[in-house]
Amino acid sequence: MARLSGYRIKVISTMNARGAILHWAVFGILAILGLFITVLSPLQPSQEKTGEWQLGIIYDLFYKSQINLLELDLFVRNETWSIALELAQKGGFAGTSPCGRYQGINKWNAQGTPCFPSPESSVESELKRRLEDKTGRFFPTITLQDQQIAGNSDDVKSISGTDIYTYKYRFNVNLDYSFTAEYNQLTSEAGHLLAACRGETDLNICVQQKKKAHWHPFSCTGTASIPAGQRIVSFCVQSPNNYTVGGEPAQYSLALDFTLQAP
Amino acid sequence: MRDNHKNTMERKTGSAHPQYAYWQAFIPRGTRAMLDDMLDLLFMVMIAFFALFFVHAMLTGGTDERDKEISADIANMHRAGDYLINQRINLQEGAPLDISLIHENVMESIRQGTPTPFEAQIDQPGHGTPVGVQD
Repeated sequence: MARLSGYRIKVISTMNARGAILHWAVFGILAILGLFITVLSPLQPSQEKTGEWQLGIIYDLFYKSQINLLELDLFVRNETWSIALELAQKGGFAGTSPCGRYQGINKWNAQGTPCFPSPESSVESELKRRLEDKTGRFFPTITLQDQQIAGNSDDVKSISGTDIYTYKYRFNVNLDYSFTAEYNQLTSEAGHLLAACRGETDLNICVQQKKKAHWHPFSCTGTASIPAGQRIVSFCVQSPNNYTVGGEPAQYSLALDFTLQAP
Repeated sequence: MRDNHKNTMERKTGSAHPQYAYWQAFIPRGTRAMLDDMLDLLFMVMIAFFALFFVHAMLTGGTDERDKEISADIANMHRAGDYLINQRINLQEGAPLDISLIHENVMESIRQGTPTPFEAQIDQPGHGTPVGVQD
């Protein structure tokens, strides 16, 4: 036994002093790592997501502004379509034609005096009124150009917390409908029909021969003939450019006075 | 005879333990100490390597999850942007739009990261309508 214990002492004593320190250092490092992991594991390394503020800006300010502008465009498109249909029913006039009405339908002429409509100004003023009612904002300029309608108002300031986002409150919408193209063609066709049939005794035959296919006396349904002696005729005119407005075919109601001009 | 052999080994190796003795019998004492230190160092480096590897895995494991969430948020944000562009195209093409539904899709569904009912198909020529949105 004595020899064996002597061997042990010998074994330990053969270990280099620096080696012993390194042995203990390994255990020390392991202990520190264990402590480190134990303390930090419930906390987890910073799990807070980056970019939260930026995403908030994009969603709460930018995307909301985009939706707001989309809503404005949608409103303008739908209201302009509605105005277009209303004007078509009134022969392009917002109120009564300067030439008066015939059986409630606006006349486009009174004997030799033409009263052709110019709907652009009516559209702009009516749309301004509706936009003001809807948004509470004034739109100083609204322009109609071919099938596009555009307008602008003051900038909108959007606020989220301490962040402020300012954007231009304006619209530019494709209507798939041109007031200018429609009414220019209609007034041209009406002028030709008046010129061709004003002096004709049998107005019915003249109108049936000279009118375009989309012009219908009295109604768009049926084929009514003009009674003899009647010189003021109301027409239902289908869109010369085959426009549909919001899914509805554009149809115009107007009256033409074929009475011969007094000499 | 056996005792003599032991004594001889002990004298040569400085250890009476046979297992200790046989392979170290031919290594001088000074060299043996250095080898001891070198092995200690080697083991310490290995242990430190694996320990640090573990710590690294623990730390980056957490951040990887976070990065995935951030990536998903960014993808959702882009998807919402594409969706809005598609709605504008739909508007220009005359399609009916439901603003409250658009608002809901953008502000709620997409932000919550739930599956969206549409996929942007803006790349398809002549077709700007997202899947799930009626013309």
